[in-house]
Amino acid sequence: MKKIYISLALIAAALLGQACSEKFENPAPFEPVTLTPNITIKDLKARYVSGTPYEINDSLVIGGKVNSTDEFGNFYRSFYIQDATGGIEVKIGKTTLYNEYKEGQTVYVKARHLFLGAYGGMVQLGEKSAEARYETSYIETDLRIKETIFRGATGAKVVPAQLTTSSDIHNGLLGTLVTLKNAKLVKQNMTTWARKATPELEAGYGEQTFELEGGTRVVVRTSGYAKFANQPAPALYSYADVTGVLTKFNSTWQLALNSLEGVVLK
Amino acid sequence: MKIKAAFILFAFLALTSLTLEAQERGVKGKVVNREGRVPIPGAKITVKLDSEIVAETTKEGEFSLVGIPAGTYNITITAPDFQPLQMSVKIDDFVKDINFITLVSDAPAQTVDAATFAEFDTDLAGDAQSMPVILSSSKDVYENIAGYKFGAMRFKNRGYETGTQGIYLNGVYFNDALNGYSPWSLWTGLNEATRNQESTTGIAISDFGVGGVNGTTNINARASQMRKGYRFSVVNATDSYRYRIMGTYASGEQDNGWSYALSASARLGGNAWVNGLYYNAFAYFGSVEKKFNDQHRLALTIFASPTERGAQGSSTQEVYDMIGSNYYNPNWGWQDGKIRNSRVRNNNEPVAMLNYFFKPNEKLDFTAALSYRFGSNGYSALDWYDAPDPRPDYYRNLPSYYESDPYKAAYIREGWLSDWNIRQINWDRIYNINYNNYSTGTGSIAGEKRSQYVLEERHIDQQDINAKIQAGYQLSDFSKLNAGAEYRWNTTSHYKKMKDLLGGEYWVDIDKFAERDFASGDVIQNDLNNPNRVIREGDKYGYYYKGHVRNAKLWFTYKYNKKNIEAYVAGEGGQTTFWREGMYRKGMFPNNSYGNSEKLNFLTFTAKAGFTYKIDGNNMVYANAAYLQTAPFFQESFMSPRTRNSVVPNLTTEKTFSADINYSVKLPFLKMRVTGFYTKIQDQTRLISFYDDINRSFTNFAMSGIDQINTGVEMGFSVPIWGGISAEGAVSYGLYKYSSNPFVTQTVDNSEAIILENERVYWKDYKISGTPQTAINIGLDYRSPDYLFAGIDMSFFDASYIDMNPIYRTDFAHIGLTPDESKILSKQEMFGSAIVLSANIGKSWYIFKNYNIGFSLEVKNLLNTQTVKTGGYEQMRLKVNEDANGTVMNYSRFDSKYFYMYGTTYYLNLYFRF
Repeated sequence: MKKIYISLALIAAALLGQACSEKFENPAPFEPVTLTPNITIKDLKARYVSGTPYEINDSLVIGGKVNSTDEFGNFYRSFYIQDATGGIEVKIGKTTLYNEYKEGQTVYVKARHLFLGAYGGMVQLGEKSAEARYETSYIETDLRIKETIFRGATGAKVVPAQLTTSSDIHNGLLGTLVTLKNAKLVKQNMTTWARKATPELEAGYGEQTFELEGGTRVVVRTSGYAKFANQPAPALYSYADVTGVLTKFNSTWQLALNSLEGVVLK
Repeated sequence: MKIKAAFILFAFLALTSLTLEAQERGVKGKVVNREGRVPIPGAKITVKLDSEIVAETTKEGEFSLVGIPAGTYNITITAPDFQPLQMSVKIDDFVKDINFITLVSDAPAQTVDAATFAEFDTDLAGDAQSMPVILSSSKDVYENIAGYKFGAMRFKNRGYETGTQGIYLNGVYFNDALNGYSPWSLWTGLNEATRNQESTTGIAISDFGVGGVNGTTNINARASQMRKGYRFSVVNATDSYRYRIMGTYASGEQDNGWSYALSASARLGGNAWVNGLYYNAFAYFGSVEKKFNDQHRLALTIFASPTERGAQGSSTQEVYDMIGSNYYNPNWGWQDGKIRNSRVRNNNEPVAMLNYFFKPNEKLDFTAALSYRFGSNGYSALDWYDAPDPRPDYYRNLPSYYESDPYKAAYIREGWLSDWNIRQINWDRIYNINYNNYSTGTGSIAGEKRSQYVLEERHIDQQDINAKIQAGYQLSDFSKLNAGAEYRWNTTSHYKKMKDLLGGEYWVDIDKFAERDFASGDVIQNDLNNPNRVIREGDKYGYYYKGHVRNAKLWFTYKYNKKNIEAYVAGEGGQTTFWREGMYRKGMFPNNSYGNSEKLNFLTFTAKAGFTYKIDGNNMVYANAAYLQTAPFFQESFMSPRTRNSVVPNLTTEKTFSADINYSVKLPFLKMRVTGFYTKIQDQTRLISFYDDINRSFTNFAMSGIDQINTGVEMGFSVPIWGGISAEGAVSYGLYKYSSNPFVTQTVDNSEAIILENERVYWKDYKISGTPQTAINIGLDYRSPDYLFAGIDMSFFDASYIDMNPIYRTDFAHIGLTPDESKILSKQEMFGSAIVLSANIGKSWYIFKNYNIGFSLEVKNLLNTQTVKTGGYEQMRLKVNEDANGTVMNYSRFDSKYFYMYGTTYYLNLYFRF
């Protein structure tokens, strides 16, 4: 019988062993970084002279709150941050940025050796471009992001500037979150916000043109990759408060929605 | 009643003959193999009187020599493949029963436990673990060497898929019902319990069935078949696990007819060459057997090998070169100061088996068996929703992705070399993304953290029942008929299980690819019957379907053996039915995903014949031929089994013709076998599923009409040189190639669309991958009479080819390419040749006669070569080349992925037996 007991003990040991698969402690929540900006976004943008990419050679640090999100697909591979002086697009080059850069979160950029460049007149912060036709490229490599972009504390979302009349809109607001108050939809290239790809057709941008009191027009431009692309746009000539990031393409004011929550029909 | 009367008569006669014998003088006994005490038939027992008296053992290993005058004699016992034995016997006035005479096999000592090879993966491309070639210690001079020495290079015998080798457990065919794979993983870690094996090679038939074209191995894992006594061993090794402990006890057959055996083992620890690989593996085995009388015997055997094991992923040469090691493993990352592997196999598939033996008389024997395999088999992987691909060597995270931007390429390289969180999985980031994700998307729960990254566990959980009856009848002194009936019932659940939410609280069961394309609505649901289902840890999700396989077959073998001639014919007929049963109603395919698919029926048969001519006692020539028609496997038969019931187009049975001719010589100074073989396999189907960048979706390649030819020669020899030293060698020289241009049909998981329909794949005359087509091993082996052995050997491997992506050889992929670019795209890489040196040594000692203690040590790859590719595959994606306007110009290939043979490894086994 002793033999049986020994053998059974062996089997029992084997069965017990099953329970001891390795356990891992969950990683600690990330520690927000605090840096002290030494230049405002407005002043940084001012260093750019039209037509020439500008390499930032001194140790400049900007800080601002994230005001855009790619969660709903209307922003792609970049986000905007704004401080009290203005906003700027940071061409970080990754997708689904909302996972790590939340709306309202403070983000710092150590801008040394990054480049300022422009696209359609909008000044962007990015990486040195290998192609002459672009003034900047995406920062995108993990090590470079680690060196330059620092995630600070999360916080309340940015309060949009309220634009009620044409005189409220100016270049200082570019790259910041704004609300077009009581704007009238005066023109549209399709009845949905945009068009998703189908087997027959490629995705297409939607352009809904809103007019502020006083006649200034702002094109709400929506990507065909936005999750709400196929949602119906408001009927022509309806009024709405429209919140998004203000941009400009050459001389055309444009607005990019974060989501349809940015559209409140009147 | 008639039969019963016959039995009584037979028993009476048998008794009478014994009585008569008892009045004479002589000696009788039973000759058995030291390994497992298996009877040795055909052993010659020679006694020298004035002339020689010779007796031969029966099938049960028994012999008797009578008519010897009283006195003391030297008797010699010889048997092919065993070391001769001399003993002195004193003969008195009766037939002396000397009971067991144990012969030692002169096959090379099994210095390494099969466990080092005995890992088999159903997901081959994703896992580097080498697979067994032939695990049994065969008597065959070629297989003895090929089986152990070629394993390092993932050699496939005669270029066949491993599943073509028939594996029987206690006489029951045990290959996987869904894909035919060898089932070694079911009993890995039970080396002692499964040590007693018998095998056949090539086309030859076995005692348990007709078999296929790649040999059979039967494992006798029953209490009575295990060597009596205690056996303990401790292994320390570096090529798979770090430690193994094993304990085994077998009672042997006791006077009351009972025998029982127990065995258990643990295999623990990591791998010396690849980070993230580890074993947390256990195994247990129990068997009881009762011999009721000489006619009836019943055995119950239960075992399992619950195993948790970290897997290795392959990567591209770019990555290996960048970090300066061919053993990079992308599957792991640091967490909690420890290496955490994302790809973990977790198997626990117990097997229970009943075997019944009935031998009513000397001529007739019946066996019946019933087996049940169940439990779970999971393989984890990262899954993610609306978040970046977390795999560090994803192609966009590599320098080559920035070909046109050297500045970024340099930054990528620097990141890989300076930051573990870039080089490996960044668990910290994954958890933090989950901690902070309070989603508002479809199916979200307010205030709860929705995981963007999770660990899924892909399950293939089998319920497998086998029933078998077999009868053998000795028709005459020269011929024997075996016949059997087998039925297999298999239902296997395929699903994903939420293994770990990685710091989040829930997941929603929707199809992320469909959501991207359609945003919302029913189509994004993985299970329309339970829309937006919230998934917690332990829940099934993603896909869930059952594969049902029912298989019945009848077979016979007839053997004839007279003087110089041996011959056999064998036949098998069967019927296989299988179908898919969807447990989820997929939103994209609401009418074609839930419930049963059509039932697919296939008639199968096998016909075999063989002929042996014995030129003399030492030389023989033999030939075999076989024709098989086999059913396609369930796993290859559905277009997109995860999502729907659609069947692969052109599905038909697979046809195999095979023939071989052999010459064998067994002389005191030379043992050799030479074989030439030719095999043609037609109408094979294959299903390849992977994530396709071009269609940004899971995609499926269903290939049909694949034909191949495997032809070649194999040769093994053993030559005793002097004083216990012998030279041995094995050569396998083959040509294994495709002989047709098959069709491929491509579909994606989230659309009805057929992307490619019956597109030709031009790979006629391309080579079969996954094995060196040339393999040679030459070695010296020393054995001393005092249980010391040592050996050194050299292997040469050549003509290994990469596993091909069919799309690279379609017209579609070559549009817009120059002839030179076309050549590059369609070329199949041949790996370089390799030379590998290995050595082994071992010794055992007997203490107080009954206690045996010993060790064995094998060192593989003595030269520490780290540049030998053991396998590789072309990635299942095409690189899209666009012009400046984003218009697709043409396609080119992605870098292939490779596995490398480890540098020097050792395997040290210490054992204690009594």
